Amino acid sequence: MWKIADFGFVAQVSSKIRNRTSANGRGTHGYRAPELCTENPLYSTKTDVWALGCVLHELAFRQSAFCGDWAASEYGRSNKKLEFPGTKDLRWHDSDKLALSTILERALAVKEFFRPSADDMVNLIDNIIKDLDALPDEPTPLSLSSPPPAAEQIADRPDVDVHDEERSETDPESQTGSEEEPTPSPQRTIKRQCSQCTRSYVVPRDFIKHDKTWLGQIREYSCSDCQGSFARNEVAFNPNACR
Amino acid sequence: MYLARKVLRPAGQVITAQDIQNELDAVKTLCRDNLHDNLVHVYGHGGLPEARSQFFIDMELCSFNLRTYIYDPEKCVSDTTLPPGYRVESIPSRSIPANIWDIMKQISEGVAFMHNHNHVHRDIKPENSAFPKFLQF
Repeated sequence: MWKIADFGFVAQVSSKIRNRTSANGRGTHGYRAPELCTENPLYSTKTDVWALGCVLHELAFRQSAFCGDWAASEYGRSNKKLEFPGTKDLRWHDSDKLALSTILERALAVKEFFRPSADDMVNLIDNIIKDLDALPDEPTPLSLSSPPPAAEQIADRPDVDVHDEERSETDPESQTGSEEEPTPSPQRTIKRQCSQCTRSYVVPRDFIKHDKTWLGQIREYSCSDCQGSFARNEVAFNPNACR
Repeated sequence: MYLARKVLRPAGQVITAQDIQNELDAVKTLCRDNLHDNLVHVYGHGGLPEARSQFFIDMELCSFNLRTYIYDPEKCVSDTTLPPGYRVESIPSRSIPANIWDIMKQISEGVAFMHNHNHVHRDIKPENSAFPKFLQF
């Protein structure tokens, strides 16, 4: 049972959202959000969520996310995607890695509007724990060699996946005929088409649906490049893309 | 029963009297009566009789913090008061503690409780999340 201690810097806010207190030099370097590195720093509940993301980064990689205020503000000013140190060395399940990167990108979003609240963090982690418990221990290899779905077929995505699976099971000619396809049998992957840039990309088959909001749906059907640009609020999103 | 007594004294610009007042107020509202499992339990607070400007907070004794758990897990191995799921056997380098989501969920729950009571903890870091020494099962 882990407990939060040291209430030395606790401040009261009168309302949960949109209420800030001044933060003149409070907090610890390396856990301070980029909005605290400006001239007139203001503290809201979302700044705590940034620190939570830093703690998760440190738990997962044994390495602090940002070595100081300068690194955090530099990350806030640049449009770079968050880089994870040495993910290949870690013996993580694929879906575990995906869950980690998704929740880290959300908690360490530069704009505080895109960060989840602490209640949302609890719900997200709850869903992750549930989904990881539901996974089988040994992943069964699935050979999925199918062309990417055409543009008309995107409307019913779950059906497309089912069709592909049936086809690969029933007639082996289609499986042998496509030599140019790299066979991703050890990773259980699905090909999808990004709803933003309409480029096909590959996701793990046991992809975890983190949340049911419109934001989560858009993120689920967009490739990693679009997700990164969305976290930095570069792409103007059309709500029609979210089905 | 062992307690940890934290003595607060205003020392220049680093800790002001307003900070101490904030901390006492927060402790009064958040930590009394074991309101939430993931906030440290405070048994009492007050002023020291010998010096009027000194205050203290009596909180439960913690054995190690999350920073020690991450970077120096060998220190946590010798601690036998831990329940079996949390006991640290030798962790090889570059691997992760398996209960990372569990730890993260508990910390987030504590923070969410504070936010729901209109308080912001402005100094969340691994050093400030600790594991209590005596657990009641």
